[in-house]
Amino acid sequence: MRGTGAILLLSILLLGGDFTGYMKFYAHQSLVSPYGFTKLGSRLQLNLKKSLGKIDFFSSLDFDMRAEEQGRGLSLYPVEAYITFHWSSVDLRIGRQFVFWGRTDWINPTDNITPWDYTNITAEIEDYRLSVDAAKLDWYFGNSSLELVLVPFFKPNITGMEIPGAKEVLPEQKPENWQEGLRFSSEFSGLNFSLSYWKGFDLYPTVVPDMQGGLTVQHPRQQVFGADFDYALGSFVIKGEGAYFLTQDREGTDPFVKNPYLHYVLALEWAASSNLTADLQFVEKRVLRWHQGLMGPYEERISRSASLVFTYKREGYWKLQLISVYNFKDGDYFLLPIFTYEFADGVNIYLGATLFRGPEESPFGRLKDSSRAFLEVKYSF
Amino acid sequence: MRIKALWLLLSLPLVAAMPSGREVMERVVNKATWKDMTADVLMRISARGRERIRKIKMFSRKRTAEENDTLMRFTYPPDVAGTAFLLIEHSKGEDERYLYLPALRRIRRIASSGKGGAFMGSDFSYYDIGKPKLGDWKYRNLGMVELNGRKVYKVEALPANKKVEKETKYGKIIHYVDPQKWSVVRAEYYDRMGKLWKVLEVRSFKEIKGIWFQTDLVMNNIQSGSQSEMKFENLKVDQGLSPSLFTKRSLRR
Repeated sequence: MRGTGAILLLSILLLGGDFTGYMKFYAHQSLVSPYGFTKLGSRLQLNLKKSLGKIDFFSSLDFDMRAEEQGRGLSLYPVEAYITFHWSSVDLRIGRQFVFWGRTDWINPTDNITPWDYTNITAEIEDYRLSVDAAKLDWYFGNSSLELVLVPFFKPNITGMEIPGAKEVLPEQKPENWQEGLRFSSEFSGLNFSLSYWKGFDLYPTVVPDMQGGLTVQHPRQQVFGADFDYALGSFVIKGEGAYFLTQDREGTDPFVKNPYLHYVLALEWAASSNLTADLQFVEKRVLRWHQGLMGPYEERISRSASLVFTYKREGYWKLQLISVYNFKDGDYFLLPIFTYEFADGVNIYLGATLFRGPEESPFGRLKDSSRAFLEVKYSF
Repeated sequence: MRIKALWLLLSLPLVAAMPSGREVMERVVNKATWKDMTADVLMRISARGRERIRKIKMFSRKRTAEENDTLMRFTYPPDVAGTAFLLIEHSKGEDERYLYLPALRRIRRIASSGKGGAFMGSDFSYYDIGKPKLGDWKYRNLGMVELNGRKVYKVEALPANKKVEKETKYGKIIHYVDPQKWSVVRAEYYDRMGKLWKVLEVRSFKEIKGIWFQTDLVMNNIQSGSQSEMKFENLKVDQGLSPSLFTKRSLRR
């Protein structure tokens, strides 16, 4: 965190770079009784970019003025702040940043570095993904590249689920708990593919009983072996992404630790016209080392889902996007319709809703209290 | 009889001097001998009583005689600034298209939505801004006509097959070619029903290294009433652009 602050300060001191940013008003209203504002306020984001030959500085700082009852006041948050060193075939980026892996949409089994904020899913990714302090090195050779990522401090997903009396225990900040991984990407005859490995902690929480008879929320270690690809065929792009999660319960005998599992996504994206695209995905998760009676209460041996991302746009005027995920087992689903109206160059109005629905204990049913409608007006400069 | 024979004899060189439609278009299409090109592109789109501006920094290079690589960086408006598009053409197999959206911090491979799709929501289609394939059209020279005080060739282009017609959405194109510059100065695009759809007017040219470049193009959509203007500024050729510029790595920078 101190390193991030230093980079930020250095960037700001280097005035003369490019200043960009936005001013945004936002109103998010809960779709669950008593229907209060979950977020109401305005945000100024200032981005400063400065290039000095082979070194780039970038900082993105949010000044958030919140007006809703809980969380009222001004806060300052560095969304990103990093230095990038460029050499002939190597880029090194150090600081707070977003690191995304994978090629499919919304569900990315290989993407276990940058956490999610499930309580704040809206039109903009920086609202629901949480940047991490990391060092990332990209080495390019031929039509291939190797990416090395190191994340010293673990940051979990924000799920919004509260378990009464349970205490969240995060991994201690020490070198043994640094997370690291690598990703090799290449291309062969029009097929882009990557192979990845990530050694870190589960971004999702696991609830386990502690020695005192209470409950703790933990983030167990895991290793993720992943692969992804994309291939274009006329107006279609075929995409796939899968990962093998090697958890701490390798034999599947501990009911409080996830078993090893496979998680994969197969996607078909269709550009019907320059205005209309549709992306249909099939998702499957297979728990391995299954032992009846020794499994966690909510674990399924095989769970399947489908997702659809549909976008229709009148470039420069308006855009309608619908993101949806449906779980076959419980019939629970997630819907995110967003209507964007471009009022003028650089001025956008977003109107949408985040809907989680399903039985009480289903993956999306558990998040239903986070359902909300939102209106945002954004002026970019 | 003798007079008629003499007339025929005199008119022969004139007939021979009139190139075919295909020959005219070959001169137009194959005149570009640049290796690479950079330009600042300003797009002005006027429709429904509103005007929208898009600014792009464009880089292009010829990888082979038939394959170009093009990188476009959007610089305006601010909400799309930083967006970058990379097109890698392949004469055999699918072209590669990648889009970097800074808001998503991700490079996405995107599918081709067809050559008839609107380029950046303008009245120009992807086909209009690309290099036409001569084999896709059957050309016919309709003779010399006068346009804005200049003699130009009027060339009719009909789709060579149904696929081209379907992809481009054009049933016919009439090109007006200036034989001094070997450049299209006006074009009329007809839809598949044979109705006039769009009219292209080239307002200005710039000569660089003996090649005339169209630097101000206006496309009027007759059917919708909208208009798009594409202006090229700071046009430079043969700068020795590095091939590394046309990679996914450079999309993010």
